Amino acid sequence: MKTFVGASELAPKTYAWEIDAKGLSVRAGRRRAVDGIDLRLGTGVHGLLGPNGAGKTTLIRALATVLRPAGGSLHMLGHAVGDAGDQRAVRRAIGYLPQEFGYYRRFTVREFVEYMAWLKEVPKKEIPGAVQRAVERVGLADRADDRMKSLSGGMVRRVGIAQALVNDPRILLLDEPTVGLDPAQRLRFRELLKSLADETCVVVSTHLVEDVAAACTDVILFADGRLVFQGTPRELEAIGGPEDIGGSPLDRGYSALLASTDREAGTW
Amino acid sequence: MVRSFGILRTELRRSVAPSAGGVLVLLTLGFLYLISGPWEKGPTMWTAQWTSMALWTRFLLVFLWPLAVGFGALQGMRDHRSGMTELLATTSRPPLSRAVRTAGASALTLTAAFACPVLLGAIHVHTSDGHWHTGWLPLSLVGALSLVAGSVFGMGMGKVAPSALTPPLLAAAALMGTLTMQQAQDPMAGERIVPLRFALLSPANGPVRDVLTTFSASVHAGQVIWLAGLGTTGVALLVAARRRARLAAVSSALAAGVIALAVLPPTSSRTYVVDTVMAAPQCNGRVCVTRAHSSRLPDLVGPAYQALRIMRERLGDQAPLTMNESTVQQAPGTVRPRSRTTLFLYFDDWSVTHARGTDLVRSLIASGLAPTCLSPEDGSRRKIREIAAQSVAVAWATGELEPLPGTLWSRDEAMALAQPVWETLHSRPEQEQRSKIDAMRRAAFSCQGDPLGALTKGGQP
Repeated sequence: MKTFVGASELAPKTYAWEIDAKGLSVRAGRRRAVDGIDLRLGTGVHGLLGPNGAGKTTLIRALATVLRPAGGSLHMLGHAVGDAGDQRAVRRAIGYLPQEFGYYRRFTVREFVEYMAWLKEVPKKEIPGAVQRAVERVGLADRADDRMKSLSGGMVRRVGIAQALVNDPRILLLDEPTVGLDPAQRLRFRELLKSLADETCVVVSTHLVEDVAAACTDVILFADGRLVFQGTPRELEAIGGPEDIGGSPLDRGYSALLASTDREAGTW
Repeated sequence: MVRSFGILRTELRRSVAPSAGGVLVLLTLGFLYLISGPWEKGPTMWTAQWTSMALWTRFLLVFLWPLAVGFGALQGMRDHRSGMTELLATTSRPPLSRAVRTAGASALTLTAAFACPVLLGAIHVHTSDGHWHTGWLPLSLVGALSLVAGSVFGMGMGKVAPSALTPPLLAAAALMGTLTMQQAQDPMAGERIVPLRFALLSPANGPVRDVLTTFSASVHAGQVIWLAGLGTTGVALLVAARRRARLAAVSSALAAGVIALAVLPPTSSRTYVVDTVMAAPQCNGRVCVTRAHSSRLPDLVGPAYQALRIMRERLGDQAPLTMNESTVQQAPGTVRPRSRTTLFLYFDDWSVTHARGTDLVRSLIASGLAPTCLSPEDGSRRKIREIAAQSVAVAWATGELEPLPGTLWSRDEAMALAQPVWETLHSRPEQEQRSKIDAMRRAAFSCQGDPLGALTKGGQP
């Protein structure tokens, strides 16, 4: 089978970081859910960890160009994102799985992923092949011609991952992708993430520390809209001591960092 | 191009479009074939002529259009209902490109759905004696455009107000509009609830009253402007992300409405015009009918000449010389045109359309001697007196009193009135008979006084 290689894929990169945020603030309603963070992410799998309400989803939505930055700057793939930014070029190169993934119930899996590929302006000739590859990667090739409404929750989540992958994105944003997946599916998903790490900047938001430990090259810990930690899983493990809460070294590192930040009343 | 067709094909299969199209086809055909009404009988039935076919199928837009709007709204809500709004907002393809595919699928199915009865009607008209002309095409094209524009407008509204109430409320409001405006579009409407010019914004025309009139070009133009504006608003609402853009979108329909109202004709006479193709005279000597009824000419010529000859014998130079089908549109409450030299034929008159042979001869003589002042549908006491007077006049011309063909009045009653008048008249000297007949004709031609009374009293020295 021929694979088409676009000129953009052969061109040298003109940017140092896939995602480059400086003093980035993003509002969620009236609240400043992301509060002046500096973040530089290159290729690899970046696990975005943090308690509920920490601002993980708000950050991912800003990266997905759903929310506009309220302050600071955000560059993605070398393009400024925001009012004056070239959203279209960025959007062509991102894959996004929202936390609440909606879909057209009457479409088949193939039709749905095909539709998303078309919306992401995948060249027309490449769509059938790209759709087939994406569907195979999430193990749904045998259900490709079934209607979306006939799928289980876990399968729908996998279609969500397939549509995010279909344009071979250079930035892949996954918000809680493992919700609804059974343990075996979760293992395969982690393998999938590892296979993407060399060429793609993957940002995975999760509250499951073990997902990060198993699949991520990099951990970003987020609390109250601020960046608490960025480093490898090993470095996070090293922070935790035996007195910290948690069943694994990574858990203990996570607890240690969160305990050291000022937690507001009302958190659990 | 292959892939964009693929997306359109997916939309054609998975959107609301195929269901909407199916419902519209079933309702239209069910209405035309299963429900009894003026569309399935008489000279103006939907399969009689091209124009009447186009007008009756457009008449059905009274409920098809609101349905198209409602289905459109349902389609417009799809992204919100599916929870897809956020994901779609992150895709690079311009929203217009997406809107065109979704709206295109609806446009194709609705046009096909509207074309179904039109094509069936075309087969009927073609196989019967309909006269081919292209004057009906704008009617059907505007009809199809109205469904597309209504559906796209509905989509825009569904997108802007994605509530479960939007489709039913929008469809109900549209139905109220089409019903009210259809009543006001009827050429025979007496009191109009809304001004005609405003009513013409609705694509659903009133019932078909005759086969010789059609909409004037300014009606088509005004409707196209308005519908194009409405459709543009729909597309703009589908694409608009911000409130200001939505307000701008609505302005397109408003502007189109204002321009359309300036273009649409204000009066009935400038709205409904004689269809020059269908009204072109087809003659056999001194007997002419319109092209719409040219198939009736062979059966008509014999009795027509016989009637003209008998009248000539009895009336001399007072007798009508020619016989023409009238193309004048009769406004409600007015009398039909009459002339002493030309006998005007009307094919909505049962006694002309259904009578044959000597019945037809007598019916024509009746119209020639004493043209009616009342509508053929009239069944009042005055109509019976008129018929009685005509019967006596025919008896005077032919020498024999016989009932006239007709259905909407009692023959016995008419004959009971005519019998004594005829016997008295018949017993009088020829000159007195003639002067009474002349008095009756004066009453009939002027529509003043009672023709039957004139036969008993009139002409007395």
